[in-house]
Amino acid sequence: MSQIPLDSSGKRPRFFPESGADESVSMMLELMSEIWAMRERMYALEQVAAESGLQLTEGIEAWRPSADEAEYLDQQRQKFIESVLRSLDANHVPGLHLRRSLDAAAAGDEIGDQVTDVIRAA
Amino acid sequence: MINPLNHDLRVTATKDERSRQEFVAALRSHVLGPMATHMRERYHNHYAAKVEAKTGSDVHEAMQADPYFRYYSSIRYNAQEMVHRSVAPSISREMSKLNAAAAAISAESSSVAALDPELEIPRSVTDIDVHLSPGSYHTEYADKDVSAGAKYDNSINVFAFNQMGKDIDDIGHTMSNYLRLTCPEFRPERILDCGCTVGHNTLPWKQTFPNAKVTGIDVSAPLMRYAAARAGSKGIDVDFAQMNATALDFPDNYFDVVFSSMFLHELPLRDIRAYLAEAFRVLRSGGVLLTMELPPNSKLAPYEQFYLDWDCYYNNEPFYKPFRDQDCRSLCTHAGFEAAEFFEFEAPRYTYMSEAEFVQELGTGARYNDHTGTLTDDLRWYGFGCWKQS
Repeated sequence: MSQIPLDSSGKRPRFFPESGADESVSMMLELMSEIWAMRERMYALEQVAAESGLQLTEGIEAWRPSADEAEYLDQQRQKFIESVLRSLDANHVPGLHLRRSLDAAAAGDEIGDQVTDVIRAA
Repeated sequence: MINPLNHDLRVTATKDERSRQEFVAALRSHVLGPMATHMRERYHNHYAAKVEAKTGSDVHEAMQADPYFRYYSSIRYNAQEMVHRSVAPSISREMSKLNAAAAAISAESSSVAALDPELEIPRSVTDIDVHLSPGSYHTEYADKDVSAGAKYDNSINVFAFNQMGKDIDDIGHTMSNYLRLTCPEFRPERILDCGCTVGHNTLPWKQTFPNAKVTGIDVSAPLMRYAAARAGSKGIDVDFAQMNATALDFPDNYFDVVFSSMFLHELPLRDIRAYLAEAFRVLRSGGVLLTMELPPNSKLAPYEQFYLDWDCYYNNEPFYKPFRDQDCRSLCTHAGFEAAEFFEFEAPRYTYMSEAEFVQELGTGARYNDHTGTLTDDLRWYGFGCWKQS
């Protein structure tokens, strides 16, 4: 069974003339999202633990990961980085985001022409 | 917090996935709320006098170099991508379970999805990922798949940040109750909703007119399967069919109401014309075409034209502005309706107030301002239509 793709097809628009500015916005927003998810989880964790009579702070400071736990964290950290930096691939890897409608326009299709005229005007 | 989906096709998202969904809903609320207000102020303070804009395109040209517009746009564009990214992983993970649940509900339910495997999906759906939604609205990932429906249901729930009704159904409630309250003698028996996706705004027609037979159509098979299962889960008896609104498989003079919402602006002009001609054909004499849409540009000041047209330029909706540049009355008369039977209106959100308040608000007439069709607290929906005379 296949997965729902995460990236839409088509060229991402550029809003800034400065090279790299658009990617920086993407990175910042992805980081904000991940930091928020983490803060919410940390808050939930502390509340759940405290409700169970468990004060976590000292335990966390003393904790060291096992080999399996370390491997899990390595994998998760890598995925985290890939997610935050996704816009670099999206904007700079040629062929990754070819707009299918451009092909349609090249084929002389009326709908394709209407699509690309509007996108090009942007 | 965003409203949870209120039916049995919910997917279980992890804590972090839910937090990402909450984050992006909050981000959109910030961009479309305070940031939009600030951008509008910037335009009127810094550009309006210099530009003397006559159209939304003039405003767009002036604003493209504005740093605030660039941040607004880049954040809004990224937020749109993040809406989809926040819901897709949980649906992919639970796809088998979801498809089994939909099949089980539909096996027990009177709401059916009549599919047409031979139907050619229009290129306005297949050639672009509409709304930046990966896979657009028709892609199937498994046998008897409903995941494109789940994707739309979950993503619009994040997208709407609680501004479009508890079941994303305020448009359907507002439009059906507008008809019920303004035409109390009219009692429709057959109602058609075209381009209905998962039926968010189809089910309210059955709730408003319980004795009517209500049918929703869309070109996408996974959306129709999901729509029927969703209706079944909610115990609302509505049928769905995979069909193209430009070639309706219904007899002449059949329906009392032909409805659509947020549909025409996704169609190329030739399909809009073909749909309206079909609507005219299948309506009985004395029946009504009722169309909920984004307001036409001719109704709005240049800045508001520009503000709504953002989606056309940056949200993979290439037909959005071409539709909004049309004259709705002319579209109707071109399809066969009488110009004198044309009507248009603006209505507040029915499910956000009492019926008495709704009626009172209707009485104040249309405003056509920065709240028409925008996701703000004072949101008002635009509608137009035509009665068919014999």
